[in-house]
Parts: sequence; C-alpha cells; structure tokens
Amino acid sequence: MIYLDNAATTCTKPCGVRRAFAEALSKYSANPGRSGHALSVRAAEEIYAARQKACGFFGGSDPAGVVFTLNCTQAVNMVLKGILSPGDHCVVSCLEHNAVMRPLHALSAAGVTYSAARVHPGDGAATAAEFERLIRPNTRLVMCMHASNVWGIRLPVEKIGEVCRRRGVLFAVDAAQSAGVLPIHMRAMNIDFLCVAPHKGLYAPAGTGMLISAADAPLKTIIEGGTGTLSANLEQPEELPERLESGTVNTPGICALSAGIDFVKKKTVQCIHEYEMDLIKQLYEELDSIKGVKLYTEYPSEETGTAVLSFNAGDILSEETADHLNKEGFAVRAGLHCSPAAHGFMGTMESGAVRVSPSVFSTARDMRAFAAAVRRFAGKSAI
Amino acid sequence: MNKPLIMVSSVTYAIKGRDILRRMGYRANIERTPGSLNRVGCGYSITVDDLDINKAKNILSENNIKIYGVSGGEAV
Repeated sequence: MIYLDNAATTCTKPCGVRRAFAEALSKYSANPGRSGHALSVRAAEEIYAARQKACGFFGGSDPAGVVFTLNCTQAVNMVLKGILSPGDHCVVSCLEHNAVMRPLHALSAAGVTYSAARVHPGDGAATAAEFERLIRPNTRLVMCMHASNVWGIRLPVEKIGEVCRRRGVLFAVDAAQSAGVLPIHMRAMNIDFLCVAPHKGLYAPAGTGMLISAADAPLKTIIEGGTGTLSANLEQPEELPERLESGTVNTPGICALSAGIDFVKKKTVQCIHEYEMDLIKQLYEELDSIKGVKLYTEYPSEETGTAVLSFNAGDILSEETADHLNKEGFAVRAGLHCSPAAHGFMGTMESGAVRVSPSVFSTARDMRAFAAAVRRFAGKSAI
Repeated sequence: MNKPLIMVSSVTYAIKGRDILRRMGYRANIERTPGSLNRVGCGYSITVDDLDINKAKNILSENNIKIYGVSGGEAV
C-alpha cells in the first residue's frame, strides 16, 4: 500500500520515535510527578524535557506554557472555550476545519458571535486586511489555521499576528497541518496560542496533541480534576500546565513526540517542506496532463502552499474515485475532510474531493505510480 | 540541620526552578514536599546548597515561579 494520507496522520514513524515510545513504556511508566518516588520523578523529568524542546522548537516563551493534550482538536477547544464568553466576538478564516467551527457553533448558542474572513490564496496582504476589517470593539480572539487541510493554501499568520498585536486582540493558530513543515516562531509571529497535531508533521503517535500558550490571559477550563498539585483545594489550580492537564498524561506518546521533534530538527523544516513540495509539484503536473481531471488550486508554490493536493476525476464522486484507488493500493482521503467551509469556498460541497498528502517518507516513484493509477481510472471511466 | 525547602506548586515548577538555578551555577535539587510542611497537598520543593535562601527565592520569583512557602517559614 502506498500511503498518501499524511494530512490525516503520518503513518510511517521514524525509528527514533518508535524507539522512544518503547523505551518510555519500559523505563518511564510511573505516573510523572504524582507520587514523589524516584520512578515518578524520572518520568516527570522526561515530560519536562519534552516541554522544553517543544517550547524551543516553536519559539514559545516558557516550557510551563506547553500543555499536552489528546489531539489538536482538544487544544483548539481549550482556547476557544477558555477565552470566549457571552458577548465576545471571534474572527476566523473561511477555510476552517470543524475543529474550530463546531466549538464556535456551540459557543454561538451561548451568545458568542464570529465572522469568517475571506482568504485570498497567494495574497497575504489582502487576506490579513480581510481579518482586520472584521475586528470589532468586542473582538476578543482571532483564530485561524496556518494551512488548509484540503487545499494546502497557507494563511499569512505573520501578517495576521501583526494585525492582532496592533489591535490588542489575542491570536491563536491551528497548526495541525503546518507544525513540522512550515517555520513557526510564536514570539516572532505574535501568536498567543498555538494548537499542534504532533501525530502529523512531527511524526508522533496518535493520541498526542499540544496547546502552547504564550499569553498572560488565563484560560477557563473545559475539564477539571486531579493535577498532582494543591490537592487540598477544590479550586482548579491556576498555573499552567497543570491547570489544563487534569488526569495522567500520555508519557510514552510525549516521549515519542519529543523524538519526533528531534527527527524534524535534524532534517530541518525547510528541507522537509522543499522535498514535499517537489513531490506535490510533480504530481500536479502529472494530474494536470490527464484529460478530465479537475484541479482546483494554482500550481503549488513553496511560499504560499503546503504539500496537500485535492482533485476530482471528472464528475465522479470523490468517494468512488478514492475507493477505486484503494483497491489499486493507494491510501488517500475523499469526501469533505471535516472541512465543509473549505469545500464551500471551492464549490466542491457536493462532490467532495480526493486529497493526496505525501510525507517525508514518500517518493517521486510513489507520485508517478499514483498518477498512472488515476490515468488508468480516468481512461476506464471515460471522464 | 535540614536544608531549607522552597515549596512550589508542582514538579514542573520544581524542575524549572532547579534548572534555572543550576544554569546560574548553584547546586539545586528537587524533592517531594514533606507532608508535615505541606498544607495544600501534593507539592514539590527546591533545595539549594550554596545560595542564600532569599536570593534563591528572588531568582525564582523573577522567573515567574510562585513560591508557596519556605521550610522554617510560613507554609501557605
């Protein structure tokens, strides 16, 4: 099977990640920090080292601001529900994933309002201006994805961050598709909250997520419980990360995540991005030469895109195309990708689209084989 | 004589504080806050061998580490 569904999760994990996971199971399986004995402290040291590494890698301000979560969606929920109160307004982009849109929809029943800024692919200044235009006196938060999980379109987070700083609005970034493949520096980009899906571009196991906070603004909690701190008090502790980490953390996953950051740092974000973009450019050219194949985005660019390409074979439903490709040995994702907003933007709500997303482990040969399979399918289906 | 303990909320802040002091060249360590001193429950403490306790407290406070008490002082 050739796996090209890395925007959902990376399937092939580096040796170092697998080794770190196994080592944590055998060496650091005590509950980190809870019990005070040597094994508990040893596990806590590993967790803290991972916080330090993540903080440094993403340009955060304090390792204590690195909160480990189940996934990126939980991190996004923590920000939206932790910041927004009835009467507050939030600005998002018109391409957001349901990780952002569903919590916002739920909050709207409680009196939170939101507006979606139009994205102008390839024109960062125009996109940032759309965000600024929508900021109101009661806008408390701007939240946007760094890169579209459907179209690979990059949002100009540096420019949007400048707008937020100037206008005194908190800024949160959903980096599910960008962490590990695009440079991110929270302080330089004026990002107050960064939500990360380490099981994607950081090659960590599923069941890992991060919320990195650089803001002084305290977040309301969406879950309370045991933190191993201030236990005599029934109030949830105020200090991060414990405030947002009730219950036992995923030590093996976090140790593997730490190894994933090492893997990406060694290869470098820039080399990974350039390599994956070369693959996606090759695929774009091949698919573009097949009669009847619909491509919705401009030719991929390192400056304005990420290595995600969605297409359709004529008017055939995307699920049908992906099912055929699955039988031919290719793992891709069809449908709406939990992002009806992004499909509404491109006019593909009815058909969905077939999404191809390589990783650093994909090859030019994989791209050629995939394009050949699409060509055979298109010929057979007479699209 | 027992070493003074600088009590902090969690193992995270204990490790963070210890690392800050160590980077400055001091011999700092962490340990579980003894139950007899710990009125808030489940805390950790930092010990420093070769630095005045008030100077250590100042360094930690400047680095946003909240101190919940010092052994021999008032536990919070």
